[in-house]
Amino acid sequence: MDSAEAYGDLAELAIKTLSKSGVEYGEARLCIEKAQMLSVSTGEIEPASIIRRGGIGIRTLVKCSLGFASTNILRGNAVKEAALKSVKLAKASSHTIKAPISLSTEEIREGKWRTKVTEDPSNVPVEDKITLIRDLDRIAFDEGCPKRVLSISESMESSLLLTTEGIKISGETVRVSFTGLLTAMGNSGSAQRIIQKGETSGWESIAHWKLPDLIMGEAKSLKEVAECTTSPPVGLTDLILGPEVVGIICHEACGHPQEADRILGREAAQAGESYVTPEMLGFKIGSDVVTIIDDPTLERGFGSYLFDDEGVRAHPKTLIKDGRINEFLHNRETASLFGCRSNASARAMGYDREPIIRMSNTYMRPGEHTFEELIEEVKDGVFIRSFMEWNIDDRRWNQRYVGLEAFRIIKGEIMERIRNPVLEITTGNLFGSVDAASRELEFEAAICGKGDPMQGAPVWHGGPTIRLRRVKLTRR
Amino acid sequence: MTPISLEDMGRLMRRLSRKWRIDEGCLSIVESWNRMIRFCNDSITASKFWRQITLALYFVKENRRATAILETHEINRIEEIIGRLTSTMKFMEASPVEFHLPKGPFQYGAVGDMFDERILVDEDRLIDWVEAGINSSKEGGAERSSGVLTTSRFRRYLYTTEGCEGSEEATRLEFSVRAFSDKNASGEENFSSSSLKGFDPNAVGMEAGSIAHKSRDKTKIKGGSFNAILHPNVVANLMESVGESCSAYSVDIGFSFFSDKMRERVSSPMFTLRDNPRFPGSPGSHLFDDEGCPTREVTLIDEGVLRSYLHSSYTAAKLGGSLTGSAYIATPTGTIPIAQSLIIDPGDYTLEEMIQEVREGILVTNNWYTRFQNYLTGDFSTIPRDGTFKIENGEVSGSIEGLRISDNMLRILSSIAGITGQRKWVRRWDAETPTLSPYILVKDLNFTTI
Repeated sequence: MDSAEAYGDLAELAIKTLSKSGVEYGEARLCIEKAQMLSVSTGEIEPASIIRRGGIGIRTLVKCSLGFASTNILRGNAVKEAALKSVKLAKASSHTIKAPISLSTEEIREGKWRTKVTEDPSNVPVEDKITLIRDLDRIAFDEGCPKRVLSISESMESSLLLTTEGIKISGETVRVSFTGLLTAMGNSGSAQRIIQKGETSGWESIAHWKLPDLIMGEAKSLKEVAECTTSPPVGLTDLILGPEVVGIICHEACGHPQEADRILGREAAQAGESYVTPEMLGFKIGSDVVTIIDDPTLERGFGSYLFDDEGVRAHPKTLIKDGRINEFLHNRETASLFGCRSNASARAMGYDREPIIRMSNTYMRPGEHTFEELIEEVKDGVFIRSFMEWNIDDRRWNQRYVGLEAFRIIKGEIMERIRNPVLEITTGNLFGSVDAASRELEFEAAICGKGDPMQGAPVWHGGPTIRLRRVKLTRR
Repeated sequence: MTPISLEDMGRLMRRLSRKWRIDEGCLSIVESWNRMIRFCNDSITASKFWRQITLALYFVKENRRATAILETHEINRIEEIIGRLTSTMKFMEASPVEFHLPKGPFQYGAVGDMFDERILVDEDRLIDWVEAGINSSKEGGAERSSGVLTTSRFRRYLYTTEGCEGSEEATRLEFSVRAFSDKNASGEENFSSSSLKGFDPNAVGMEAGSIAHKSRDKTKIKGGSFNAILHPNVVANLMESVGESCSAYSVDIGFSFFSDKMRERVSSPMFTLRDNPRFPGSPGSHLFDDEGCPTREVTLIDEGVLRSYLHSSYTAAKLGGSLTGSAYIATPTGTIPIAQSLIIDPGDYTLEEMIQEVREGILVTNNWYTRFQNYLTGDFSTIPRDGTFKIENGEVSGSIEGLRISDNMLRILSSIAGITGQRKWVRRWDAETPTLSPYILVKDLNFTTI
């Protein structure tokens, strides 16, 4: 069988080699990933694709210095060589370390977990999958999208983690995802949309997403965006943001700046640092309405897991509670520095990457209002349902979201579409301006990039619809 | 899988072709050794090594295409996966596009400085380079610095059913230092090359520290249009999107701002852009692409006029065009044309002349997070980071913050008003396509602020 456990003797060999070398800590993480993709591009089937990756990553702590080595040659001599290499690397830099590295003490446990799957994607007939993406392509074309790329993929990742402390965790993660790139043409030129769906689940998610209805709605709406020539209002205005926009805000303006490694400067050379400092726990950053949670245990979440890649059992983390910074995302290294326990935020994207702090499923807690109630109380404002362009500075303070599907609100009613409204705002102003949230909770899937070499982590982000009072809006 | 030989690959390819009745195919194997040292706040945080052998296969059967990217040395497993793909292909319609992989054999020649054994030093030497960068950043004026040093060695082998066989060996060194002078004042400098020629870790650290020091005491300005000088780091970041838009695949799917613009003016006449994996010292050097086509210099934009897209055998047949030696195996696209080594022709300016000519404007030394509202029109924004400076009375003056470039890529290309003769290779975390970048002067670049 092609799974990590089938190579378990190699992980044990790595741990034995590390133990004999006298390391303070050692871990071996075997990972086998298999993915299959089918895609259609403007009426034509793209190549059928399979990816199969597999190998072992070995991390050691020697004299307060971290070494990491990996290989995809799954043979005894290559694995032993990698184990010794990780020790050598850690030792080589140990005499230069100015900030000694240590790991928090965590429960030593053995565990086994796998994704709950109702319909195994590999059992679904290929012809059904091809028929599905062909149908979606036809729907998008009929609704006015002359260019489109639609893809479905399924993946299975099996992993086995052993540490010199005695942790032994094995897992099997099944994911399905859908991506759509649509282009519509109209009176105002073109409009483009990227749609991403993803769940840690079996093929049943495909039915759950109601993809034909989704694509019909998205394509129709995009065509209307391409026809729209009405400029948005500029200046201070009330603003309603849909769950898709709220989700990306939670991810970019809360999740990333509250990663403890970023707070400590670990990512400074690439993804940057953070406006948050270690002393800011309890700091009021938003209104009482703002509570943001990162929860790896959500059923079907694209970023879900039961144990992180350091073997710590996952649980929800409340990052901002009633507007106050409440908790950072930690792995064992940052937890040790902060004098706390890891909250299971270490993820490694493949055998050849070391575990670093990542988000999982990050969302804003829903409120008490209906969507209609949020709109009713806006005399003159804007509703942004979705976005294309966004970015944020590398301290996670100055951010921008450019609306794609956006509407004017007049006297509590949604009126005509408007083109490209721009929200450029600080994190403090954004979270401080939220005065109400709706009852619903929706998620979008994404691949979050971080680390060097780059690690793309599947995540969910989401939230309710929210209302912001008197924020500055501009236009493209 | 090890040791690899072209004979082994030929045997594997023939076996797969026979067993699964493949019409045409290419098999690429890359063996790599990578070393990386990461540091932050002047201290090494991780020392890493990864070794990989990756097999990539692209094949065509009855005009249906399939791709596999595999990390396994077990022949039975490879055969089983190819069998699954051929079963899937039975349910796919044949492509209406008649295309064929290039017929070999070809002579691939050599590229200067593609492999430099001096890069493959031991751990202690790498640590010396890192410490030199850290210490020099302090001499430049930094309080602390972070960064990454990476050395890599690649061996790449190719075998195609159409008679192409080749192998190449390359090295790469990348060093970046991001220095901080206070919490908000930072500067980055980097070095990227296939050889050790010209590598001076002290100079990298010193320049990063110097930019960080100068970027203290930031002030805010109002947004608007400014004549702006873009540092090679920024140019490389923007050229990544330009390179992607030159890919015929992007054109085909409607994600290129060069769609329907062949032989049209797309930039200022002073701008010429090429993709040349044969440029000596390029960190993106290759002798051949994954279809077996020899790499060559491709002029993408010639004095402002769009002259060529980058093609694979499939896009060349579909859109009309000739092979450019740019096709690399990827999922789910089969082979995809990708720029490997972008070169901007040098201009006549020195940086000093450019600054004097601008008189009043902005100098941007680095940026990140480039995102598009519309890839077809080129509407985008990106965020300056590290040192961003006012230019006043023809001199670089105070440090500024809180800016965002919000503009259109075609408008920026058309507004290029100056290019320096001085260029440097940039390949970094947020600019992955190696680019030989000058400083570029853009007229009336739009900046927004909060």
